[in-house]
Amino acid sequence: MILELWMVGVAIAVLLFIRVPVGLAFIGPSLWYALADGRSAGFALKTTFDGLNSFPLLAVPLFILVGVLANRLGIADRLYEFCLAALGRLRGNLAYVNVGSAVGFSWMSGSALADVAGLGKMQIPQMVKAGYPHGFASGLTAASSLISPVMPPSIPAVIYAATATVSTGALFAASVLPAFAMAIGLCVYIFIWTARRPQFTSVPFDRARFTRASVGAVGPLLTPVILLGGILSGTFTPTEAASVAVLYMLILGVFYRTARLRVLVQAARETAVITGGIMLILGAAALLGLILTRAHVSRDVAEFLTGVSSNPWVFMILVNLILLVLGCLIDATAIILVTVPVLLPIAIEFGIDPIYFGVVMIINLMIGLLTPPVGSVLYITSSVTGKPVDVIFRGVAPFLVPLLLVLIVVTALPGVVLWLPNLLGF
Amino acid sequence: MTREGWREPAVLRAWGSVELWIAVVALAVIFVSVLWQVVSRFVPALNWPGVGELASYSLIVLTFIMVGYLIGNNGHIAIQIIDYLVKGRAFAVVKAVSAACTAVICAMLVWEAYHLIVAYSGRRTAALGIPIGILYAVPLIGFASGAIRAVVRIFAAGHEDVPFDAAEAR
Amino acid sequence: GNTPAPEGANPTLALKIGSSQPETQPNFHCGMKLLKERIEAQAELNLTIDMFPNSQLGPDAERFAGVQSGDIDIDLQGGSAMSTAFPKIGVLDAAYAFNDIDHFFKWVDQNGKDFFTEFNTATNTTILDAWYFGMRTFTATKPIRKPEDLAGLKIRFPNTPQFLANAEALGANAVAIAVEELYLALQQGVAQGQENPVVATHAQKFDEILKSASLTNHQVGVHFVVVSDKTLDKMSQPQKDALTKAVHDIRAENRKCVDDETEKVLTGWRADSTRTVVEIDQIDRAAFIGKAEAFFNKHYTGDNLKLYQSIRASA
Ligand code: NA
Ligand code: NA
Repeated sequence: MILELWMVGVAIAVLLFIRVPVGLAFIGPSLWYALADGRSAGFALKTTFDGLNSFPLLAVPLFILVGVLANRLGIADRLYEFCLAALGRLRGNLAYVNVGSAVGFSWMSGSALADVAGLGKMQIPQMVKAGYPHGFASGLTAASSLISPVMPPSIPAVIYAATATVSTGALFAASVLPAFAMAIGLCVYIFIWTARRPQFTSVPFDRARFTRASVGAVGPLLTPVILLGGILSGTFTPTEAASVAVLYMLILGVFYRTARLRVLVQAARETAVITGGIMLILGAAALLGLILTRAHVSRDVAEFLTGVSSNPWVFMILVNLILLVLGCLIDATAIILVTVPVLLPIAIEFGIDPIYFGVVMIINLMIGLLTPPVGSVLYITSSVTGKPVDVIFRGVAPFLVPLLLVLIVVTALPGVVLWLPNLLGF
Repeated sequence: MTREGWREPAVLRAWGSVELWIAVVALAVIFVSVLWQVVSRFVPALNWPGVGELASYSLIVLTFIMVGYLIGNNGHIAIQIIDYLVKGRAFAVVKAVSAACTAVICAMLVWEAYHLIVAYSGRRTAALGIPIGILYAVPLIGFASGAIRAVVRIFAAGHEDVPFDAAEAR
Repeated sequence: GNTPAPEGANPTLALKIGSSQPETQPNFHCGMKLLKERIEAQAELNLTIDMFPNSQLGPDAERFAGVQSGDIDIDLQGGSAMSTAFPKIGVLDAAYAFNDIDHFFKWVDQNGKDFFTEFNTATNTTILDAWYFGMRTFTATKPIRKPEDLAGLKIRFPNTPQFLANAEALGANAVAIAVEELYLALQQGVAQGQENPVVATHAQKFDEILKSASLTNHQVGVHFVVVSDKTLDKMSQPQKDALTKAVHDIRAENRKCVDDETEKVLTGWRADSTRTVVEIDQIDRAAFIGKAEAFFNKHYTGDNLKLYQSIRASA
């Protein structure tokens, strides 16, 4: 069945290329292979169905809902106003505000898409009005949106943890410092960029405005306290934290008088269509994964990779390069689901910590969201701003430098990544 | 805001709004069930072993019921490299071939769902006792809807699509 | 194809065997691995065994469905995952239904034939034998000597009807936590205890957090070796006989492995001054058994009740 397995690979590539939905492109050839290999009628659908039947995956729709609600209930706006009041006196203030509000919003959002769609719509026009070049404004917004899926809560982290059967809580804790490192990397870039452009002035600090904005942002700023505090105090598990976060957004919405029924229903619709798209890929990848497992492909790839070099650093560099290439071509969720069962056992054999491996993998794949041809953040930024994708990518490209530097630093320093989870006793 | 481009026939749009409502209800059930599990640990009277199963099956219902809707509204995650490589008439041909492949895959899954319903008739889920045949009926409906919409898309391949916007889903 | 094998010929078959147990556990190295070695040593059988430990083929219930459809040839399964297809097998998992593993094997050897035939009719799968997995016991933040000690502790039980009935029968507050989140939940205090055989508790590192082990031995843990009838249809009689014999022969060796491994873990626990091990004779077994019997005599009805009572009568 080795030849047939190669045919599955080629068929999937062809179907993806002619823009068949990713989930169906995985299922079609896998279904054919399963029947040819003598599996029962229904094997493909049942495996897809069972792949979705996992408690930790319930966090996916709930964290998407949290991000959507934060946008629609005016909670993201309050964070933005807070950052504006706090960072106004810096030269290039709107650029720092962009990163600052991305960090604040990242505690409520598990994916980059909600971030660009919500904050981007508001920030890009304001930066352009203040004289920033369009490419810089949209590039920075796209780049800073990647903090959301790295900082907890993170949907890729939930999916990685479920696939690798590691603790979601530990992965969340390990992602905090790398997420801040991304923010710092972007700020350093902004500092260098504005240093050569004296036309960007600052506004004096306005104490009254800052006080007002702080009071207005108390609720949103408490989100990480409630999420991490609840998990660490044993009140709820990381999956359950997602439902508590939804509840908290609803309470804030009622308090701010923005939670009208019409708004909530539209938020649920938006969440449902986003979830449906992601989950079909998840189930399809479970099917493809089982077919590869039954054929012992993971074992064969492992033998090949361990034969290349016995040095764990060579392996990590190889993994980073493979993932960067895959990240340009395939959806990040699908990559996690298909590659983790193959790569993680090898990593463990090399003595590489699975939590650290997950953090590196997630940062790497999130960078892929910015690169063509398959970069969903790129497409959303393009649709938000109404500019063509290639124009957006020219704006994004310089920001890949600080992000790739952060990836290198994080890869080189497993001790720093694992410091917080160890400190918290995970 | 009106957008130019091809839209599905009215019947399919009406059915699409039914699918979306089912998904919205499933989402609400997921939220309430998971929250229920948290609360029931502090209020033992609310302890009910069915919540975990209810939440998981709701996610499955949400996923499969959205298949057709997303095909019809151009909303599935797909890789759009070819959009930049091929233009005009050739692009319409690609879209038609793509829709045909989608229709075939959906049809095969309808066939599998039918086999599962037959094979599992009389079986029930562990905690809630839901007939498993009913659960497999959801992918049957979702993929049948997807197959029909993909066939419609073969004939609409020459028209330009409305860009999908999740925020404005109806 | 499912064409029956011609008389006297051994068709070449590669059998896929699945299990939830990782490679470090007795049911792997003293179970499926032994089976592979012994079957493949008989070259004339033309059988190879392809092993998938550690839930590589999916969780228990999904793998059992795979055995039924013929997509998995052989699997190691506890009773509860198979009880949706054959509810009666759940009764074998009732708390204190069997006194110990000797009682269980005695019952299997005397009544197993009829029971497994009935099981086969309902599921289209065949149970060849059962391998020991260990006695289920509590590990918690506090020692548990009598039913009253369970009050005020939230104990995680697997989320299936029979296990939750066991919790009720013993007087425990069961909390539902997915197995993927159990370690973290125990660590953060979402639950204060869990129940599993000693070897499984140690393998999943729950003993890093829970320092009190109470050898209540409230349930006999076994894994049934279950084969798909679709697979059996493809096999010749000599192949079936050799497979059945090999599985049956391994039963005793596997049990010794589990007992040795259990004793090894317990010795480590007893030597550790930060831990409490409540020994079997320090448990008020009579109180637990009385409570469980009173509960199950009310809980079960019809055939299930008859089965439960016949098991108790043979104690
Ligand atoms: Na986040
Ligand atoms: Na990309």
